[in-house]
Amino acid sequence: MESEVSDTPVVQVEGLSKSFGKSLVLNSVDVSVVRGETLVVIGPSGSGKSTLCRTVMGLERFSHGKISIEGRLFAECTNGKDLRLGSDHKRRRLAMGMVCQQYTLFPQLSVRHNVELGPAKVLHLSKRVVRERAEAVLTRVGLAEKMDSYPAHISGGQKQRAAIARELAMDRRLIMFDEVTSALDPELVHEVLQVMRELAEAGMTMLVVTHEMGFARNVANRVIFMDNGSIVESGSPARVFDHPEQERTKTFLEHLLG
Amino acid sequence: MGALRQEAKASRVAVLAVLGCVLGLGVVWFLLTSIGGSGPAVSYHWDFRIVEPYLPVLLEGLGLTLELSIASIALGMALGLFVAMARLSSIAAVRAGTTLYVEVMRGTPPLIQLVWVYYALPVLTGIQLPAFESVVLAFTLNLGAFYGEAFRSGIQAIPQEQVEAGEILGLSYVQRMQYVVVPQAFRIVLPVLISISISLFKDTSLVSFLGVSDLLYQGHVVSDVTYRPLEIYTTVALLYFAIAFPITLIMRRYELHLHRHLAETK
Repeated sequence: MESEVSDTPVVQVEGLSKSFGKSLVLNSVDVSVVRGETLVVIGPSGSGKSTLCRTVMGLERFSHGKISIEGRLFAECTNGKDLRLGSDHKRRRLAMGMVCQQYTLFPQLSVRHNVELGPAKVLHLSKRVVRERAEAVLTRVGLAEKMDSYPAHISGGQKQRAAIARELAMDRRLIMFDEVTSALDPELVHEVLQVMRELAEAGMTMLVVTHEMGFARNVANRVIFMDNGSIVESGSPARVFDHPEQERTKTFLEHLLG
Repeated sequence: MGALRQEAKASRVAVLAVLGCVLGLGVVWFLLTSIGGSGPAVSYHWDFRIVEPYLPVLLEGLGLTLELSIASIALGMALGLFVAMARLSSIAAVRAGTTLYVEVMRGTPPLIQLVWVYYALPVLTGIQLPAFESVVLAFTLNLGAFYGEAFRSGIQAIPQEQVEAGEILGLSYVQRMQYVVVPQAFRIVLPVLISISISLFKDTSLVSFLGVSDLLYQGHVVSDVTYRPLEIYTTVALLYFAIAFPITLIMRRYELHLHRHLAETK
């Protein structure tokens, strides 16, 4: 998988820990994603993959650790309770986008209006720019004919592609994908993975949580395996899939690939 | 869209049914007024002719009933929004206090609430409200609980992922309410809001026991004067129905309109 990958980490996570009651959902996780990189996270359910994405996005609190965006502090917690936010927090927060597994689009708005909402009401762009941008990103994901349809009238794959378009319209530096194909009928998975592949090849920085091993192998620059809140193994797709070093990785891959 | 088309058809049928009813009632009225005065060996002679001169009085009462209803519904809904948010508050004391209020309002008869506000308020606070304002206050407090519960359930019915999608997009709390929560919650709870409102419209008849001259009160008065309670109270019931039923039909149409983009077709 060859694409331009530079050295600047778009997002850097250091020592991220999160407890949920008594259990440690994230255990001092260190991970970074550099510009243009596609990082794929695999692991069993409950391993903390989704929690990692959600915590970096700011949807969940964390008890210890530091998150930096493009070298600047985004959020930090050293004592288990007080969250310290970096300056310009909101702008850095908007540099990150996330596509979730389901219920992503707002049902009472057309596909077009779903995509226009952010640029119009959050980025405060002009009406003309908002409209052109929405049309451009929807065409890019292959939904040019469905712009004025409503979410209830399009397929699951089309919904997810629209959700991706929504993030593209927001000028994200990094987009996280949290098992975006896991709830789809099998025949609809390919069209979504195809869009994601094209995005990766165009140089988007991506963090992808997925069970789709084909995608991981063919599109990822780097694969990390998480289990029980920790990163167990990390490396190139070929290395991790073909020569896993850790027992837990081997067991997981065996179960997954049969 | 199959289900919705059936609904649209059903509402057309309902409109025809209403027209049929009205026509039928008109026929009945004609028959009874032309027959009235004599009849077979029954102890009560129906005579709807006597209603006619008292119709303006009854309509005046209906006017007050409508004023009461509209004021109480509007204020009750406004209160209901706050009640819903309070029930979902992160502060335990706020949640507990609101829950107590809701349970009291739902667990006690509305007539007692009316009487209580009318008599106890001046005793407790020294404020003496005129009868109309007093009953509107009582109804508002009562409705606030019911509407509040409806709004709360609507808000909670929205998948958490939807609110999070709004957060991810960068929408502020107010924007999330405006673009994500309220549009969806409103559609979900509209049927409940309608039935609470129609119930209230009929419950306003309780104020007649406090001497407020609503439709039912005028019905008592006219019935005492004419000694013809059956005809009068039947007319009163028809007047309530003549308002409530068309509103139900209109709101049903509105509901279908709101749902026009939401029916899954794949």
